[in-house]
Amino acid sequence: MFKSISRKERIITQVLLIIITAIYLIPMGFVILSSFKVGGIKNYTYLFTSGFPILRMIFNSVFVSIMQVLLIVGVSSPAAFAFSKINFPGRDKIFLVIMLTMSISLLCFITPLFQTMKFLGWMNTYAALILPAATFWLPIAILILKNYFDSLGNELMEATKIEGGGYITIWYSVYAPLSKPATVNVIVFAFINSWNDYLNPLLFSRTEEMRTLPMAVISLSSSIHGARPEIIFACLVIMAIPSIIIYLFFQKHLGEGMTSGAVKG
Amino acid sequence: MKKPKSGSLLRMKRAEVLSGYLFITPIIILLGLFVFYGLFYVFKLSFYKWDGFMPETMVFRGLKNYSILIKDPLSLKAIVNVVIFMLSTVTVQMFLGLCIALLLRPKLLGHSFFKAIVYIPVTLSTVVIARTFMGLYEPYFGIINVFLRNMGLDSLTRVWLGDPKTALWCIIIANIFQWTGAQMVFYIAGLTTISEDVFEAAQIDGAGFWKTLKSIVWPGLWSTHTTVIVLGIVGAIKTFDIVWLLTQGGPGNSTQFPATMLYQAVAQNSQAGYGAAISVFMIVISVLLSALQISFNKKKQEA
Repeated sequence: MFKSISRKERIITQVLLIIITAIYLIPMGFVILSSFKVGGIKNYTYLFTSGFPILRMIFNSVFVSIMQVLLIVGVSSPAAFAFSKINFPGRDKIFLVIMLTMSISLLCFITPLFQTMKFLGWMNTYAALILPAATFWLPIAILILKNYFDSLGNELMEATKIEGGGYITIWYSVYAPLSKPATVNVIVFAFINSWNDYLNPLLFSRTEEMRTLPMAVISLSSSIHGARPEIIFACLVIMAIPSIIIYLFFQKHLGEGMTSGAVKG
Repeated sequence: MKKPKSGSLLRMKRAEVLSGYLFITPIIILLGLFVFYGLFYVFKLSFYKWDGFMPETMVFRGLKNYSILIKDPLSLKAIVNVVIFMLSTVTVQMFLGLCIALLLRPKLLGHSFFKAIVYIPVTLSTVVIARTFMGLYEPYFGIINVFLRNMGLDSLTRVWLGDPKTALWCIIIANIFQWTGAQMVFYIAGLTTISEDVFEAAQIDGAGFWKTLKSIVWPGLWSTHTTVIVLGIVGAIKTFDIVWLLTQGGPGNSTQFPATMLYQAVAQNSQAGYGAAISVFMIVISVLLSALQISFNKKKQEA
């Protein structure tokens, strides 16, 4: 089984894999079938023609996810580089404190977050949909990128220094491009995480115009929009397709990150 | 000749320190605004009675929020639920994750398809998972009850999410479905760290499947087990989305979790002070678990 595999073992393995996959396919198939019940493809067109602001919600989801990814990469890459390659007083202590906050849920700060958002006038704005959730994902991004920077040697840094380049040059034109594999992991998982996020918009979006797709499902379930199950299932399918495509497209490039991506849950 | 050189070294050192701080300034600002400020805020607020609206109405009440929290029968319920959730999701996901990783190891026909199917739920929103399972658990048209009725097992049909006896297990099953793919990936990665020579030696010694699994694979995956267990515990403490979407802590508080108690206290019952006490409790446990995880990783690197 572990080194070479007999014919009998091969058949058992294959059958077990097919059974497990079937168990996974049943709920997925159920959703797809349900989304075509009653109205067929009209369930999908209904979402776009009934006056429900689905296009606005899709735009919100895309915009918020892209902005979160840009913010996460833009902030975590230089920070991870500093924690890995630059010597400054208190470096390891600051890094440790950031790592200790890694698994605290955003929900624990619900009251201070509400107060901050009210004070800044950010309630129900894109700033509130982007910043808190992205901030809570930063520690894991830093961890992934720092581990990668650690694995790259210091030789290139010394070489650039001799040529007279400062740390910004060293990070921007040498180490950031070299960290592409880890950065791709961060981009993909940060995007999927943001696309799927339910908690952050639950707390900070107050009107339908500021809802993202996960919240669209909640809107559709309310009686104002008829709470029609087949329409809700169609919306679920629309929401699931981008995550699945992105995962399948980048599958080959997602090594270690696939495990780290699960950290945030 | 010596002096300017040491001066330039000093200048280089200073440039290094300054750029170090410059590079971490953005994250310190963001974490400061949303995390560190929040830590002080909830800690202070946990000693006050407050509805969460007008700052003037804040009243100091000492440790009362904590004593209410300890005496609240709901707290015990939430802790019991989290422990049941933790133990069952972690053990089942470990078992299934390892099994699927082992089954995928010989790279049989279609193995990347099987792997993708099991991993896809990890990439989906909890909203999608929750709505899918609500469809399966639905009492009249849901697949589970329809299947049971067709098998003539009408007595087994339930209002799955509306029955205090089954609601928690419904949540646990949905969670296992969503996250087993992640554990599978951990175990696939873990299995590659066990050297082929060891398997070869085992085969030469005539060790069968179970013997090899028990004496080589299981102990060889020790660091994977610890990662999976710690992450499972961390995730359980934070669990909110799946519970809120499926049951909102009901029926009759039978599926309350610390996070749902916190959300209800602050967002529905205007008990910001009491909610802050729950937050402090959750934060302390999360930070302790992170510390544990960091020390595990250190040991792993040193080993």
